[in-house]
Amino acid sequence: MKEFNGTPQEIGEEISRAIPPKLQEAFARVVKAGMKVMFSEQTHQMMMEQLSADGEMDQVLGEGIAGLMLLLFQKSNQTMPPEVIVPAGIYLLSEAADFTEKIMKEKVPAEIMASSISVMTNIILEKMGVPKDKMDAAMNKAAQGGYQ
Amino acid sequence: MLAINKPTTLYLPQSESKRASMYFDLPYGSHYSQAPFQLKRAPALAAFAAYSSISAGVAIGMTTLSGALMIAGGVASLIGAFTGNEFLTKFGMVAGIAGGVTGAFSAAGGGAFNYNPLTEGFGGSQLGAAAGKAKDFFGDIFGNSEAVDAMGVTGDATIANISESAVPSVTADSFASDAASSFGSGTKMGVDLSAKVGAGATKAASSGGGLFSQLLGNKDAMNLVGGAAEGYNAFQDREAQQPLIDSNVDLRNAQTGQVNFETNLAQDRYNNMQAQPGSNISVNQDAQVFAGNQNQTSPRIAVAINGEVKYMTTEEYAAYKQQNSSGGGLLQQGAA
Repeated sequence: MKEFNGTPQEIGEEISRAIPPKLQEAFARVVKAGMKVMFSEQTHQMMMEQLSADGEMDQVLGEGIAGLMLLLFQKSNQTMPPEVIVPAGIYLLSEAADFTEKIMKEKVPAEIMASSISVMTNIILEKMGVPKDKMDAAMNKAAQGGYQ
Repeated sequence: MLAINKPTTLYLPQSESKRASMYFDLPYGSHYSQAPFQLKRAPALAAFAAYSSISAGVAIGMTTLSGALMIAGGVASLIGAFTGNEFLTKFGMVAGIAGGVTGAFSAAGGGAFNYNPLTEGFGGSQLGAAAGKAKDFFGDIFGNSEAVDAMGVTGDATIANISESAVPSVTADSFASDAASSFGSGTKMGVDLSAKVGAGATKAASSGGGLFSQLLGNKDAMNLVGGAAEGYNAFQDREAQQPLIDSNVDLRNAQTGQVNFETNLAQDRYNNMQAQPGSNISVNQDAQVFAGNQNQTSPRIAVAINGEVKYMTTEEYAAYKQQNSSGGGLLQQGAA
């Protein structure tokens, strides 16, 4: 079995594999739209803001991708299947991190990836109507075997 | 009209210079270095980050949310376990629990959705246990009342443990009777509806057995199945409509592009019609732009005065001629 090191490429591959066949097409469409927005000629100047933004890389990546996913959802007139928002976000986050690795000539550690995904997921879940405090409480309960 | 902008040199700190060069899409430093080109094509995330705090919510149903959690849950667990990230580890746990609804009922096929209880003999107790955990979870997240409404579960009872007395007795006959009555009675085109529908329903109910009977005997399970099926159908509808939506968006974009083009064309035509020849068209009005003297408004001419070459404007030369009608002659004319 292939060893998992938490690199952006591996995370992208893993999330792609987790998508059910019925959602593959929607997933691909969302990813394609997200890539187009992220890397288009028209938006590249916005990168200046990203580079000069205060804050840690995980926050910048997580908040950026969360915002992008919500933007795509709204722009799709809410026709995007909500099931693919978080998975597509994880994939786009891995692409953004992969790109950052290439231009900075520096590895993005798995811990940063994990933290970025956490930031992004929290934001999206809150937008889905899942309050953060209640989610945290439910996760703690699950960790203590509360739902067994 | 030819427009020439006089170059302006600004002396900035290196960091400011780099920032400005990227903002104005101008080269920075060496033209052969790679970073500016690549950075300019990096993902534009900061602009979207702000959107995450101002965008509207994503209205989704319970079934959809459980599906969303379940897909991401496996990868979250993996990354969480590898990095020790507490959130992702716990997220993976609750995703599995929340996904109980989707996992139990979805017949979509493949991956996390590939379990079909109708064909693989998913037992009533397992069904109830999985849905019960999910119900507990959603109850904690959204509050009991909302979870109850969304999942069709009454009170605190789980599907597995719901008491028999709380469920109306549903038998093959009563189901058939209900089905027949819902279709109404009478005869359409010579067919007795009550008899036909009732017989069909009786046969279905009596021959189903196993899970089918259990489902029929549990109104909450039926509600749950109904909810899952409704969610799945809604998704199917969205999928079916997507190509039409895409093509409409493309069409609208094309129309917008055409309108923009025609507007620009009309604007160009208007500008051309408005263009008038200048009063001094033989003189390049931009000739002085690089001369370095912004106060010099008209060209000077060279004149010979008493055997000496002098440079003066046409106005000065006219005044000089008026005073000294026998003054020198014009040598040449042109910009100084």
